[in-house]
Amino acid sequence: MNHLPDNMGLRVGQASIAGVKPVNEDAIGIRIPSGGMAVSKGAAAVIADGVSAAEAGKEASETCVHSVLNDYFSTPDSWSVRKSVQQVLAALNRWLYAQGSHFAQAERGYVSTLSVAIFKSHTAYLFHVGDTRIYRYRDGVLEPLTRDHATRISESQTYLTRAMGLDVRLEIDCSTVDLCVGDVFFLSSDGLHDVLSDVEISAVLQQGGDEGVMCQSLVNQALQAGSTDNISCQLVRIDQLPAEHADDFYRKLTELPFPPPLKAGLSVDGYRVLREIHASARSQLYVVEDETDGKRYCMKTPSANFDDDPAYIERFIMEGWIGRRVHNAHVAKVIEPSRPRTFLYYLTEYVNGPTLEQWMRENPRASLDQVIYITDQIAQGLRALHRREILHQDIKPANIMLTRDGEAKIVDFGSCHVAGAAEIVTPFQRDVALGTVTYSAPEYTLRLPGTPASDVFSLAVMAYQMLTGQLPFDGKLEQCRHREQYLALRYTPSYEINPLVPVWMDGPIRRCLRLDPAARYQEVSEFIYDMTHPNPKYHRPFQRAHIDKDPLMFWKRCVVILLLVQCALVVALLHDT
Amino acid sequence: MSTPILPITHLKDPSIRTLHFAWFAFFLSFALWFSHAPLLMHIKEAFDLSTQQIKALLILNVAMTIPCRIVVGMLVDKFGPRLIYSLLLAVSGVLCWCFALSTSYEQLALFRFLMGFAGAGFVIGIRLVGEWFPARQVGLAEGIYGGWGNFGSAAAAMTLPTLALLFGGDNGWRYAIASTGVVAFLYSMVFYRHVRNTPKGSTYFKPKRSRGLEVTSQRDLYFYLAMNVPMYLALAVLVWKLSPGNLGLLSDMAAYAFYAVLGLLFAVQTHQILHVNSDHLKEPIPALQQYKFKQVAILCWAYFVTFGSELAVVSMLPLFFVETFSLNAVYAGLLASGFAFMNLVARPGGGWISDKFGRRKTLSILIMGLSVGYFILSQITSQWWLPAAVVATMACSFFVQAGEGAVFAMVPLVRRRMTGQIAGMTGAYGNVGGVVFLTVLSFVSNAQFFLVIAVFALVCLLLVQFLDEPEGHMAEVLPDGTVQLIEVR
Repeated sequence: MNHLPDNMGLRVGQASIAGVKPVNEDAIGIRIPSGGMAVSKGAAAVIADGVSAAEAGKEASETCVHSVLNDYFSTPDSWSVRKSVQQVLAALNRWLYAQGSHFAQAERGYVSTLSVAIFKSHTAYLFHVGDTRIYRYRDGVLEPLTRDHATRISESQTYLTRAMGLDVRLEIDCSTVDLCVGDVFFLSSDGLHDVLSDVEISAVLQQGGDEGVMCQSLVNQALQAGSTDNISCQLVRIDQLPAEHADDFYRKLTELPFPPPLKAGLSVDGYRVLREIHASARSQLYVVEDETDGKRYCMKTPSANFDDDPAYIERFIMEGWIGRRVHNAHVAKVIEPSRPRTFLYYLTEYVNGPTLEQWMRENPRASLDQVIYITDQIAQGLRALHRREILHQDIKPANIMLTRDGEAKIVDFGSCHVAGAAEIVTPFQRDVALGTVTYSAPEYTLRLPGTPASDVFSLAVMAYQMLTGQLPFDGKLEQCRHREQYLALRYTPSYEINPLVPVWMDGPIRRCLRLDPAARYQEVSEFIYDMTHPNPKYHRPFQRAHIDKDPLMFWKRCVVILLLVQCALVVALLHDT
Repeated sequence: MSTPILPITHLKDPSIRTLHFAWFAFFLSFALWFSHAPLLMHIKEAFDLSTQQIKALLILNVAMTIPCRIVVGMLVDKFGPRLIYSLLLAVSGVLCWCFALSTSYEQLALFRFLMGFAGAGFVIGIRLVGEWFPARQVGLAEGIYGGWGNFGSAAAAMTLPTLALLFGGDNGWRYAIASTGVVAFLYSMVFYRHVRNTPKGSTYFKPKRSRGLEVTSQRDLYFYLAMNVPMYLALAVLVWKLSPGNLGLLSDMAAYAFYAVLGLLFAVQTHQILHVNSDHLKEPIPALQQYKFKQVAILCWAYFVTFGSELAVVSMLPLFFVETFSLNAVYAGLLASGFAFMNLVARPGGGWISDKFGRRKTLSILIMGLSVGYFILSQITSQWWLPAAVVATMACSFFVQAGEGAVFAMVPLVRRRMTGQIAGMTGAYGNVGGVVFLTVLSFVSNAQFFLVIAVFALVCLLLVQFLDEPEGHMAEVLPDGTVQLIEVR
């Protein structure tokens, strides 16, 4: 994410001593990366306190700090902070638990408390287990942002209720707070905050000065106050927030100028244009050939209509960024140009084949095999995107290319939502809901947030269209603007239009097309599984005998009928005599 | 750079088809809007009207368009061009019948006033064409849309008098005018059936907010506010013209009511402009977003003399020929159509010249040309040789319409992101020009009228000299086809 400024200004300091104890089981660490990583991942401060009762408290706390500082920054940069940290901590917890599992008592193994503060864009993300603490010092007020997971069992003893490595299942407290210039974040272990009051800590912070010196003096103060534990603390002061100055931002965004309109024969940065594939009001697409090795690529250039629209430019840059991050046979690859670019454009692999839109026109009644084959491939591509916390948001036939070998590839990331990028504040308003109304899930039109289930919706619309040659809901989806209109839609099962479609196959499609996202499949793979494995739930009800559908009710009714007949018989007999 | 070429005969291409549907819609709306001009002679006779009353009709025709443009712009944002253009044509068609069936001068005046609605079609098509064409073609496409559409008034001038004659009788002119309404009404249905707001599979039709232009400095804000005054003044003059003191079409009460409405509208608009701008002017505006409002203002005045004078001249020219050379209506209409005829090539051509030879120079030359042209028109008397007079009008109109093309070629270059709003404001000024010039006409003789436009043009020529050439990066193509970047200052 090099197009975004990374000028967050942080001043940090930390200190940790063993105190009166022989070993220091506390571990602390701060990492402030530079460049693109600073933008996509932010900076991290971590404090961990190995549990003294445990055999390997020191190893546990050190592992926690190391692994957070390394692994967090190795997660995909499209991931949101929350997802990244949770994944790292879950893995870490399992490892710690496994290491300590040969001890009979869980708390005697690899157990540690952990507090993590991530500073990204204009937000601090806090993750916390145990009794280390994170405070925020703002405008002279020191405010704890975490709650200790500990129970006091006697005057001198507390018992950790939650900690890393204590149990296979781990519940982490997650919270976010806004950042302001001048904020100071203070992380401490219990050796410090058990003996120093908030007032005493505030007093030191009030004085200001070098962060390292302040930490040192707090630690010493705690020692003098009679702390019997290891003493550690960290300070992070926010001096400047990124993208505060819109000018910086725009300068970075507009570093590369837009290319002029191109035509066959022209050459840009050593790529000769062979022909124009497509030109719309938003962008142009050309086939180009590398003049050095003759390889063919597609070149996408931004439309001059938007040369002063920062939201558009950011989105365009992000398109190339996404394509370089997702590696999947069913997602078009974005090629890193071998020479420096002098204009704003990006190159993707050249797919010599029709779009799914053209293919559908040529194959109005495709066979079931073909439909499933194509749908499955798109689903695989979608899954690769979703694993990176990227929503495509514009799945439609025109955005699926088919190669000569019949392989499907998702192209055009112009509408994608990247969780990790959405967290970064920009001085302009980003566009939302850029998808195509005919294939978009209702939540986009209703201005609700999208989920993976929204991409599943679009995929199901395409599957329906491939099977029947028609759009679902008689094509009325595109006219809907309000909830009531969506509710009034009537679904025609695909097997009614194309009798070759098995009834059980219509079930999953219908489920994907539900108005309520929660009612759909949450994962693409579930949908594909049900498309390929007959799910008994979706058998046509009226084709089955009553006794199969609900045996209990069948017998109940039989009994009632018999009873009635017998009663009637009894009455008739009595009457006769 | 590649020269833009539009394959306008490729009817299979949906964007080209849309362009044809769009310009024809505009063409019809223009034909409706000026359907009365070539038949004024008949109307004058039928109702026994004074010249003053006729001139008032002409002004009324263009007056409503000024506020209508704003309303139509907002409707397009909300409902999309397809529905709004269809509705505009259908409603105007009905109004056109009402006008044709009028039995008194008051009715004529009322329906002419309402017909101003038809003139607001321009904005709709601009939005539609903008959605359908890529950046490198959109300039030319909009030139064709505007130029060929404007030709509608020429088409009306050429055909309607003949049509009136064919229908014959005292009411021939009524049938002729009503027939344009029928065509427009039918076409509105064709348009609705065949036109789509956006290319298939494209993104949503994204609403662009049109409440007020965002300016980028405090000084520009005052400038912008001041630029709104002439629009309201023009409308106020019109009300005064219709008030009891003058034509007496409005009662005292009604006139005061109109003044009050105008005052209120002005207050609302001023409030909106301040509202839109007050927040973002508090913070420093990034260099990338800055622009000079001066550029917008100058373009507005340039459009004022070009399009404004065209509106005025197209309205009065047929009658002018009739009166000056004592011709019959058919012949006069045919000759007068020469003025709007030039639209077919002059308007797209003006944009092209401006792209090629520099913005300020082109605009200066064109406005100078039209100033000279109007000066020559002011000299026409009955002693002139008729073909010479026709050639003079056509020459003059070339400069007028090429000037319009040159203005609109520059509009997107001021601030790309606000093209729609700037185009809207420029277009509105064109209409203000129409009202102003026609009001002038109601006070003076035809010759003086042309002279006034010529003088206005000279003032405008002066203003154009303050126009900044758009700057930025420019790409250059080397002989081997390599595209290279050169910095332009």
